[in-house]
Amino acid sequence: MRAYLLQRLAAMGLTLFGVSLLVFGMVRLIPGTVVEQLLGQAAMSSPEVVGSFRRFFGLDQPLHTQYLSWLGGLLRGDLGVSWLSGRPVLGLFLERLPVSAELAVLAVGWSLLLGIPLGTASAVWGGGVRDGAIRVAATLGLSLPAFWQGAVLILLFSLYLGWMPSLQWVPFTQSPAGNLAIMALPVLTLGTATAAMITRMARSSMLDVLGREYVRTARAKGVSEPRVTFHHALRNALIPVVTVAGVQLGYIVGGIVVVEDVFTLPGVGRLLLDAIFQRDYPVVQGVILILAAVFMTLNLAVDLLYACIDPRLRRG
Amino acid sequence: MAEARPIRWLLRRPLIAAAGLTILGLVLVGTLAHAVAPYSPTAVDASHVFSRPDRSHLFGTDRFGRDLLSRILFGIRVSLGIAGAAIAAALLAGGTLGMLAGLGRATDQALGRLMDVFFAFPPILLAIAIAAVLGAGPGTAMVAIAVVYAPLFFRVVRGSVLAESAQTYVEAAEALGLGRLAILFRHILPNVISPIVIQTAVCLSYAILIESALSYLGVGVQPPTPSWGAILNEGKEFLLLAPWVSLFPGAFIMLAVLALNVLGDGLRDVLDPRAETR
Repeated sequence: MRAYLLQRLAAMGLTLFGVSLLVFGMVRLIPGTVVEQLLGQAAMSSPEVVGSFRRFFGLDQPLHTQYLSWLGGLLRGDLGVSWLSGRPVLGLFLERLPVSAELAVLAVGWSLLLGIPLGTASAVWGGGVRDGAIRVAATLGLSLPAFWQGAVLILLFSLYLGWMPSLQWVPFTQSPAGNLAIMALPVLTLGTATAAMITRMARSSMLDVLGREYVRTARAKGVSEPRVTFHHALRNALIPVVTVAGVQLGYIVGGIVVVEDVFTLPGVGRLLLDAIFQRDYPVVQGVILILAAVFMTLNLAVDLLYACIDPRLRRG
Repeated sequence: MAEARPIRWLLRRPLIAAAGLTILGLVLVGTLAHAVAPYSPTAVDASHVFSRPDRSHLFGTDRFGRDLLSRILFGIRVSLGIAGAAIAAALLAGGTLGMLAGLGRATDQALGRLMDVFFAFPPILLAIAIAAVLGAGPGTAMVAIAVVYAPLFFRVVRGSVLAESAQTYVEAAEALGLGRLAILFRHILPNVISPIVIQTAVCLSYAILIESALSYLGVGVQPPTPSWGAILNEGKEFLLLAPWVSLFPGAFIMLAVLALNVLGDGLRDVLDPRAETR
C-alpha cells in the first residue's frame, strides 16, 4: 500500500508541475502584455509608466526567471498579490472558501441522500413503471443546465410561492437558519446532476450485486427479502457508488462557479469570474491552480479509498 | 443485415427514436432558420420591448424588442455548431493521439503524462480558464471545449487500442510483418469505432452544456450573436420582469442535451451489449 501511495503522490507531483506550467503559460499567452491590459489608455502615452509597471511585476525578467520565482513563491504558499486590491491571492481565496466549501459539501450530501435510496429502489423494482420513472428522472436530472435550473427555482419560489431568501450573505456561524435558507436553492441546483449520476450508479451496481451467487444463496437459505436487499446486497453495491460520489465532488468544484453566479453567492467561483472580467491575472492564475490541486487531491483520495477496499487495484 | 431491422429495432424503442428525431429536427430547423424564423434574430423593435409571449411573438421579445423564437432558432446554429465543431476537433486530436499511444510504451507514457495535466482540471473550469485567456467569442468557446474533451477521447481510444492489441488478429498481422502504424490504423481502428461513437454522443451533450455555461457566464459567445447561453445571459438581469427570456432558451438546451443523452444510452445498448443498462 505504501509503495502504491508513493507512486501516486509522485505522479501527482509531476502533474501539478505540468499544471503550473500550463497555468503560467496560459496567462502569458494573453494577447498584448498584461501591463497594457491593466493600464489601458495610459499605457499608450507613457512608456516610462509602462516600464516601471513591468519592473514592479517582474515582467522585465526573462520568462523562465518569472516562472521560477512564481514557482518558488508557490512552494512557500505565496500565490502573489491581486493587481486590483494589492492583497495576497491566498488570503482572498481563503476568505471566500467557507461559502464554496459549504455549498459543495451540502450538495454532495443531499445528492447521496436522494440518489442512493432512489437507485436502490429502482434496482429492486427492476423493469416496472416505477423503475422507468426513476430512470427517466435521472436522465432528466443529468440534462438540466444548472444555470437554467437555478433561474427556474428562483422564479418558482419568489414569484409563485412568495418565498425569497435574503440576498445578503449570512455566515452559518452567525445565523444557521438564515444561512441554510440562502443555501437551500443553490445546493439543490448544484446537487441535481450529481444526484442523477449517483442514482444511475446505485441502480446498476445494485442490479449487478443482486445477480451474484451469494445473494442467491442468502435467498435460498430463507433470508427475508429486505434483509437480502439491505444487509447483503446494498453494502457491497455501495462501494462503486462512494467512488462516483468522490469523483462527483471534484466536478462540483467546477460547478460552483456557475451556481455562485446564478445565486450571487460570495464564494470562490465569484472571485474567479470577477477576476477574469477585471483582468486581475494573479488572482485568476492562483484560484485556477488551487482549484485544480483540490480536484486532483479529491481524485487521489477516491483512488486511495478504492485501493483500500479493493487490493487488486494497488498494482495499478 | 436485413434492411428492416434497424427500423423495427427503433420502433420497439420509441424513446430512442424520439431522441433521434429531436436532434434531426433541431439540426434541420437550425439549418433552415432563415426560412423558418418569423423575424430576423437581430431586428430591434422599440415598440415591443419585453412583450409577453403572444400570437405575433410566440416566445415573447427581449429588452430590445427582438423576437425570442427567432433568436432561439438561429441560436441552434450557433450552439449546436460550436458543440459539433468542438467535438469533431476533440475527436480528431484526442483520437489520433490515442491511436499513437498504441505505438509503444514510451509514446504511451509520454502522452499519458501530458493528458494527465488536462485531467487535473474540472472540465468547466478548464474551459473558463481557456476562455479567459483567449477572450470571449464563438471561436474561443469552440477551442475551449475541444481542449477539454480531446483528453477524454484520448483515454477512450487508448484503452480500446491497448485491449485490441492483445487480440490474436494483431499478433497475426505482426507475424505477417506489417508495420505498427499500418496495424494500428488499418486493423485496430475499425475495431475501436464503437466506444468512439458512444463517447461522441455523450460528449456532444456535455459540449452543449459547456458552451451555454460559458456564454451564460459571459466568457463565450457574445451578444448580439444568438447562442442559447448568450440569450440566457441577456435575460438573467430581467429574470423576474421577463422570465420568458430565460425560460425558453434553457428549455431548448435541456431538450437537446436530453435527446443526446438518451441517444448515447441507446447507442451503448446497441454497440456495446456487455454494458447494456438493464
